[in-house]
Amino acid sequence: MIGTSLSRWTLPHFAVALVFLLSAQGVIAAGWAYPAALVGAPGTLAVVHLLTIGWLTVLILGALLQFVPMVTARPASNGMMALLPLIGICTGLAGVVAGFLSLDGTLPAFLVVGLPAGGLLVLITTTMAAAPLAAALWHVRPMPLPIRFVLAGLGFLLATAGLGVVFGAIFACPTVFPWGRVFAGGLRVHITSGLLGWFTLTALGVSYRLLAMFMLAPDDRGRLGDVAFLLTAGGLALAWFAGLGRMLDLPLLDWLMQAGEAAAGLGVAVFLVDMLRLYRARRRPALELHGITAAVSFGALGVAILLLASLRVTGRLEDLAGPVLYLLLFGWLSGLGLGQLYKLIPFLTWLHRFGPLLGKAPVPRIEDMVNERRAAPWFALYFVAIAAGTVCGLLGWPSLWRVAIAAHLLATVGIALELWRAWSWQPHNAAASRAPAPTWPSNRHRQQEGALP
Amino acid sequence: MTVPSPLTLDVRDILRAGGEPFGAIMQSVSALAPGQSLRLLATFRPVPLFAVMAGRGFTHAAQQLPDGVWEVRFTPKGSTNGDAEPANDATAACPSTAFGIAPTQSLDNRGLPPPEPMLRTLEAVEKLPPGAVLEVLVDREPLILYGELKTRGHAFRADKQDDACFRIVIQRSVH
Repeated sequence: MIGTSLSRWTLPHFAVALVFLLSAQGVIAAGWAYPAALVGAPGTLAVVHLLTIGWLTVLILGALLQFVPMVTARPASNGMMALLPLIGICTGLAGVVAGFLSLDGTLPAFLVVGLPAGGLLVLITTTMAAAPLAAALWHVRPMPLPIRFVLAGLGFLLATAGLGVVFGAIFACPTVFPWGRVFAGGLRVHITSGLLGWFTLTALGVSYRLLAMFMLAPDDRGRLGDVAFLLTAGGLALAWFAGLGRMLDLPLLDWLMQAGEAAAGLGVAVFLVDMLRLYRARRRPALELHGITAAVSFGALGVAILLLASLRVTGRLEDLAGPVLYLLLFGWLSGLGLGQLYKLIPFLTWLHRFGPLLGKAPVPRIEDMVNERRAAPWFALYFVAIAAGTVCGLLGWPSLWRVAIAAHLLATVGIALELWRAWSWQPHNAAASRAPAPTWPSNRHRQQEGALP
Repeated sequence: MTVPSPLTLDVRDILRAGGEPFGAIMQSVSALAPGQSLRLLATFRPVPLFAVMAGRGFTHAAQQLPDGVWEVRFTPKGSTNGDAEPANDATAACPSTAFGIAPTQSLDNRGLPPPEPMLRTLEAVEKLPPGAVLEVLVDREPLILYGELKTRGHAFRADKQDDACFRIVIQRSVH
């Protein structure tokens, strides 16, 4: 184990998250979820929670276990206690999925109790995971922009999970909690706070830090970054509170909720402009694969926000929510996540395995552990399949949708294999030992380096 | 008492030829009279040299002339030869003699993608004699490096020079 700043549980989180992603995609490709079962059907909801809790929440919590020590200078939480939330989240998720599947008779009816019980376990264990991370981030002064995004995202995690538990109670005990109207009104709040609050805000924050670090771009985003944060986080907070009030039929809150969502959409646009600035200001001219896939994911985010706005204005969002959620979940969040994993898994694996040897023995280069030319076609297929799937969903072409979903699954399997190859890579021979230090990029200051008398 | 006029050293030709001017600079430093300043002309702002000279008791003042040439005035600390502006670089406020020893080696790892700065730093540290000091400039605070230095028992100090530069001074463990 190198140093005290590396999290030993980040890579296991990534592995568990990938298993959930592949499982969920397999279920979708088998036709057990949207569009065959429509967005609000129990089977679709089960798959959506496999994706949102099992894949994205576990992925982001795993990434934050490493992100927090890197921005706070505190040791990573490497005790066995740090693994308990992961076990709790997986157990709670099993309860939630069983609960959903009991609603349509796939599983026995009594398992509906899994919805509130599993949801509560997810809420408790995500709080266990998020609270120490948030506490460590809260004390960083001055607070950098990525930390502000991540803290806001963690707040929305708890808000989303809390509302989910309430929904679970309504499903399981409709006579005790006769709040069907609350569920109908709150679903939009739950989806918005989860997809845009927890996942998107956190992803924006982590993207700022990771991309600036690997592309050698300026960390200081100036006022544009501040505006992006205030609009997205402030707008989503406004929409969340207005949405809560709307569920209780308080007046004027529908208008406030839409204003909050519009501000958040505008904030995303400002972020995308700022990210374009970051890419242009990078000092590493050649883009690595993770930088390219991140750019495509940002494009997917922009298209999804435009679709949301236009469908909302035209009143067609209820009908076409499925394809837009698909684009947000897979094109934006999962696309960004898989692309960053392609950088982070070899990077962290290299640090864990070879870090203690640095300076003491020859070590391989990280570049030896990956093959971008081999992986790039899988990522290309991944994004093309998602674009095709989104278009098919919007235009109502279920047969072609199936083809796109199958291609999407194939691409994810290909990417997962590439990630596994990076993690399990072994140096073959002496030639794999570390080559002389690369001369790129040319840096005039490096001319002066050398042993001093 | 008269103050000797500054000694001027122009290393631009050496740099343009791809050479290493450090030896010439140190020769000139050795040749300075007590209280005498060194006026250095270079094609770029020689940041690592500031720390080396601070370790030898010199403050610095750097300015870029209209023709693009960098003029750096190194003045002995405590000297009354005060025509140089007070150094405003944090290097002077934080001398590299953080461990009471001038750095044996200086590395500029700015502009290198991760994990190259960490790799080069640890390779350099492990080649140092026990107790010797390495000075490193990096773009961002290397928190993972800190963890590894602690694990290996090397002492270090870190100073933020500006938003795009951290200076780490590392003393190799004597064990």
